[in-house]
Amino acid sequence: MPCWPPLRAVLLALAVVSTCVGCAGKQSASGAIRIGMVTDVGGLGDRSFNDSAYAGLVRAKTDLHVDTTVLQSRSAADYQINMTVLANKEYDEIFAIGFLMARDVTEVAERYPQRHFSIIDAVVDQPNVTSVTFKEEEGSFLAGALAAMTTKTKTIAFLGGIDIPLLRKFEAGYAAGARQIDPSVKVLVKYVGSFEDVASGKELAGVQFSEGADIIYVAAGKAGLGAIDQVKERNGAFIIGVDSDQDAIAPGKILTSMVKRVDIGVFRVSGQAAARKPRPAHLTLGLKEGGVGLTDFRYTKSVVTPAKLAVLAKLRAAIIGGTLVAPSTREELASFKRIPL
Amino acid sequence: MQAVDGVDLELQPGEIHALVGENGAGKSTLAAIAYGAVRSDDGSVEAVGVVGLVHQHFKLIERLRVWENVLLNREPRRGWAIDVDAARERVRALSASYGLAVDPDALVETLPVGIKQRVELLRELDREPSVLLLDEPTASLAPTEIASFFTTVGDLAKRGTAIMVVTHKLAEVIAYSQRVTVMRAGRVVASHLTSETSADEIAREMVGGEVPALAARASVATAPLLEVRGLSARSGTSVLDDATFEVRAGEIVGVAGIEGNGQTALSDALAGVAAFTGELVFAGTLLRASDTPASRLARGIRVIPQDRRHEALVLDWNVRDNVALGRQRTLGLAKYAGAAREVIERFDVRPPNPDAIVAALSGGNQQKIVVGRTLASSPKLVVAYQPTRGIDIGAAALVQSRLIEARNAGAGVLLISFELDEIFATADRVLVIANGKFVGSFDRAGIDRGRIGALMAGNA
Amino acid sequence: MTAAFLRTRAFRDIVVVLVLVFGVGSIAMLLAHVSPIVGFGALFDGAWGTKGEIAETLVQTTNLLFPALGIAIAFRAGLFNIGAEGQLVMGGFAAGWLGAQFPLPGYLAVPMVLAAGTLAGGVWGAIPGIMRARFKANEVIATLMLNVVAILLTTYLVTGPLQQGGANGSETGPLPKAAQLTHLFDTQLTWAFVLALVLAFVLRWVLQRTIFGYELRAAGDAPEAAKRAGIDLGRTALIAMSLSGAIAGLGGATIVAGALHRFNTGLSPGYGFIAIAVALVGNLDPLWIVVASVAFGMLQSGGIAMQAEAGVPKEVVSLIIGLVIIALAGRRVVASLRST
Repeated sequence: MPCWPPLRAVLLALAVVSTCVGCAGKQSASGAIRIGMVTDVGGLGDRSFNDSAYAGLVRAKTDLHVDTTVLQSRSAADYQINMTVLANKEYDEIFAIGFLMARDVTEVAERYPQRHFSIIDAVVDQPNVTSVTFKEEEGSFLAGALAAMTTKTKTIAFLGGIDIPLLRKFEAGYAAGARQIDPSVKVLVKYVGSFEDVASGKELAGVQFSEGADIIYVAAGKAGLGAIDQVKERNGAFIIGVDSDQDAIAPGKILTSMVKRVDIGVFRVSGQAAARKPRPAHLTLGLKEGGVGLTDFRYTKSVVTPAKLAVLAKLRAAIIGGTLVAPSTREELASFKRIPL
Repeated sequence: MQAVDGVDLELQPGEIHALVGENGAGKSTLAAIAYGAVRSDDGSVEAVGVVGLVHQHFKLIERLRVWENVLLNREPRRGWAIDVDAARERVRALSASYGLAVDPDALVETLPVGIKQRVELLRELDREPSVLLLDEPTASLAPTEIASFFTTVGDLAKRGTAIMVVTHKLAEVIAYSQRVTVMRAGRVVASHLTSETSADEIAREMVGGEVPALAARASVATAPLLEVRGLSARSGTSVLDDATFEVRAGEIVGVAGIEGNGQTALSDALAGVAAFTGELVFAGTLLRASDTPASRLARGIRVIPQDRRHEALVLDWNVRDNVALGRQRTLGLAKYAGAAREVIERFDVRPPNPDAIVAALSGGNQQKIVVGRTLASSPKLVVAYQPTRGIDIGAAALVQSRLIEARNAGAGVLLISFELDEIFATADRVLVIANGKFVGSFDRAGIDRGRIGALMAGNA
Repeated sequence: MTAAFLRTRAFRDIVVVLVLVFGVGSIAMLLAHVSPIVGFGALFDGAWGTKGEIAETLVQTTNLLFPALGIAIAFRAGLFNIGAEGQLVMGGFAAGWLGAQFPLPGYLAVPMVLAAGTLAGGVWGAIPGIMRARFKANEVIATLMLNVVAILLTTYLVTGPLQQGGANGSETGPLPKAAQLTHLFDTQLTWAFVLALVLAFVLRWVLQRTIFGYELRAAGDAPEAAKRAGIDLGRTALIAMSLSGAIAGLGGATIVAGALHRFNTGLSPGYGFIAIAVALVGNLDPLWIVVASVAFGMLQSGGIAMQAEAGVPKEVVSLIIGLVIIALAGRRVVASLRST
């Protein structure tokens, strides 16, 4: 059989590679705990909760001396595949970042009962899944209160990603916070219908501004970046950012950010995993746990006066103390009554 | 396989040297080797000066102008730009000096074939060749154009250019060449001074024996089959204008004409692939312009298209599946192999293998498959458009004989050909087509070669 | 393997693919500071190391096999269907939405879901088929555009007028258990894999052993000759495109019913495009396509493992697949331009 030279090279390469199958070991050589993370389609660099989760993972790596791996998802089809790969590779803890993966976590967790999974922002009822959720309504309440104290037009707005229960927690808490300060402040509510559509985010923010709002609380993932784009072109208007500290994206134009400390959730669960301890079924992080909160207003100190800060501090104490319960649904919002401070 | 083997050939300045041989004898390969387009494994070609080659199929860029084609890659320049004025002038001077009139600014796609040939020739002449190779130069020329073409070529020869004409038209060899070399199967089998030989002798040398005789024409009772009244049709650039004629069952009607005079439109209208106006009555029923090719096939109208490679065959397929094409449904898959064996046997297809890939067969054997499957379906009307184009004398004789046999068996045959000899050898009646119109009709007894030639050239 | 086979186009394609995979793959890995031996080792191990990994490779194989078979049918008919992605999405949408909207008992639910996907994909393929048959519209552009339309349309539908309860983001509600495909060997592999294999054999038989397949191939291999042989090119184009779309749509339905258990607008990471390379590497022959889709399924699943274990970005795999498409599809386009 004549052997064409390139073919010979290929056969040689094949032979080399095939003898080496299995070189990459299943367990890391040191026997360290291995923690994997699957991002949602937002991916690393979203300046939002994927990045925040990653920060927690990085901290776990340095502080807890665990091995970590991140798999990014390009589309929803990747969620199950990525988790399955990590499960097959017998990772000790697998984080699914984002409620979009709730159903996929359920599926994969069912198929791999010996592995342990954690999901951020959703509740998955499986024995081998830790659900990490946040009391967004608590942080949003403070954001709403600050907005109501700051608005000059007596109109503020909420711009959500997709109209689903998770996002309504933001909406309800925000509206309640505003009502607590001043019931006459109008709260406009709109949803982009997407977490990725930056153009629509920008357009809808423009609509809300033109309807009289001068502050928009934006909880719309990547689409929220469009709203931030919009506010750069307007004087006297503010955006309230969400999830991670977005204040620096448009210094002075972002009143504050309602930060969700996904990193704290990730780090806490990682700590349990590193210690080979059982993980809780449900980890809820609110103001009390430091899981949610506002940023330090470093670009907007001139607007956020000490008087306003004092009000915020009182509200915060009331929530942590349990005397004030922030509503997390539209129904609870409807029956929300202001409390005397 | 070797296309050319151990050939010695010498061209003299000032003479027209004809190179003849059957298709596949190696003529074109030899010309290509001489030109330098094909590498020879052994041996050498020596020429004093530049060698020029005019191809059988024009290698012109249709979208460009005449001067652009003639001077391609040799354009006079002014800095980085082409000096258009100088280019135009150079082409004008060239065409005047050789008596080849042509407008340098005409778009090639708008030119008739005869003029395109001049452009091809001018392109080679611009390189001032000392040797000029002409591959089947008259394939698409009218008889009168052929004469003037050879006058030009003769002038060239007198100026000292050595000229080799590759051809299979023996009449032209006898009329215009000074020397003739015959090739068969890649070898030179004979070389003569033209004045010392005859067309018959050359033909025998080409075939390597006696030229096969055609099937005898039986006298058969004819009956009306196809009546065409006022047929106008268009297919691509081919236009047929107001044609009226009839084809009777049991006769071969030859349509004589030069390529590009409406024959394609005629063939395509009958095949059901070109729109037409006018009246077509076939076996008592009216054919419509909206008919599909399938409905024409169902009525027993079968067309042997001009371009077997694109219009008739699936080259990547084997013989068996190609034989079934056109009858794929009526035949039924189980009978494809049997039908293929029948055609292979009746038409002497080589190799006699139903599984052979058609692309690997010679043109002659490919054509045998096309004609074979057409006649095997017992058609009522056969439209044969250039059925022997580019195939050897033996295969051509076989195809022509089978057409005659189909006629003898009662089929009507419309033979559209650019080869007058083929029409004269087989047709019961001859129609002449020129510029898309039918300009003459002759019975077999009353055939007048000179008159037909004049009509073909458009001289009424 | 005979010497003659070594000179065939199919063989040369395989060599081209291997050179691209190992050559370009190695260069990319070296640029990522990873030894190609470690990288490819992780890739092979991640694709075939455990039962779960083999299952994942075969799931990816299945997801590529359906659209690749659909593409092959269209390509064999001479139609460059670049729209398998859109047809797959439409099939997945119809399957997911109907499955969630109309819960049926078990023996009916799965057939209904799969039939809905097949039908929707078929319709989506028929649109460019009709455009081609009626108006001689270029099917490459039509199918390419319809990919975008399919994604946008389904996104609009599931987040707008057809929004269902239990949905997170741009997806339908959950598929009831009855409408989900049964798993095989206690892994994520479902019998969609078996269905795809059977389909490959059936399509091979249809192409080679039926008059329909004969006419379809004739229309693709020599359209002018086919037309003159009484084959209705428009009708053949319509049927081939519909069938092509239907098969891709069925693939979308199996992804929904087999893995996601809901329709999500991001259900395909580009299966419909990768499948073009699969179909071409498989030389448009259904049985070779099975082999090619196993190879590409391995790249898909092993690529992720390679990223996790060896730190080689899985974009290396995307890069390789992209080069394979350019090399094989580009060559075909050049060849088809030359023949006209």
